[in-house]
Amino acid sequence: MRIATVGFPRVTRAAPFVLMLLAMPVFGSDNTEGLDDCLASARELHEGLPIRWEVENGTGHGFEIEVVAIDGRVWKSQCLPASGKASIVGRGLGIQDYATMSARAKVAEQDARNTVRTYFPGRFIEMVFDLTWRGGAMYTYTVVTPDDRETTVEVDAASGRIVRSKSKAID
Amino acid sequence: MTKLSIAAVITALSTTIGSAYASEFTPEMDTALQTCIDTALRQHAGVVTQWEMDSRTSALIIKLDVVASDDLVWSMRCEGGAIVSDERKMGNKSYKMLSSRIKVPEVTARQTAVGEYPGTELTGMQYSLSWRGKPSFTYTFLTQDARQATVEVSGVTGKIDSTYSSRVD
Repeated sequence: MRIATVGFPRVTRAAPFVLMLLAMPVFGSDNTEGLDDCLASARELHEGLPIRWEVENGTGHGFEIEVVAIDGRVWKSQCLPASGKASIVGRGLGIQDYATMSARAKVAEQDARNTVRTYFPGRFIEMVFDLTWRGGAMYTYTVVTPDDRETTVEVDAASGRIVRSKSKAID
Repeated sequence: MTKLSIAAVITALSTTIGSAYASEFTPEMDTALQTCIDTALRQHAGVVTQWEMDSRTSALIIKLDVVASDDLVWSMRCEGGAIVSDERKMGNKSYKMLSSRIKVPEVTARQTAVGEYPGTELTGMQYSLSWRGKPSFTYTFLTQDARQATVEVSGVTGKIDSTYSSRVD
């Protein structure tokens, strides 16, 4: 069986395969490609603090982002990493304390994410930013490790250090 | 000059504090540990159910518990590859049950656990059966960023079942 590219110069022959590879989702990626653009875009829609993001279906095809606006309202948006443009899908219930949350998030979420990436390489699933009962702030990440363990990692938003981690094999 | 001195003192202090928290588990330590385990098993043939390692002293000190084939439990202390104390512990344990359920050698499970926390201090191991009879090796580590971590490796598959870490300070 002959394929259509036979007879073309070598570089031209390789082009369809290269394009096919580029169009495929990146295997071995940590699901956060395009996340920073999406977070920036979500903040452009409503100025505030991202308190949660989730990789939709754990596939890396899109992100669901929640931002606490300056007035305390929670806005939910969706974003495709390829476009990097977030679009609002609705408002979350209740009002959050933006002033306290933003004041206690001394370490940038991206830096906390990098710390988690160093110690727990794998696929990111979710991040939740919240205040503890003591008033400290914590980034909680969910990561699936290459050997299929769901890992929860808590990073102190004041110091940027990992406070606790827990992992369990996915049955 | 004064600023330089202060910076040097701070650097020295932080290095000291860092080393007080953790010293890396090296291949040399692994060899020393294995030598101690082999020596202990020559003394009492059985299953090693627990070991603790203190690598902060000048000589590596390892404490081991062995369940012998006659179900007696022996507690040993090993220094420099030689058993320096050997005494019987209270009670008996079922050697047959403990030995028959292990499908993965402890040394393999150890390498898997060390791979989860590379460059950290390995402080101990405990071999136990769950209430369902599932064997597992639980390793304890002290990480460079002052967390105490445990890694549970399945004695059947050799894979990591669960991990946990939390800050010690």
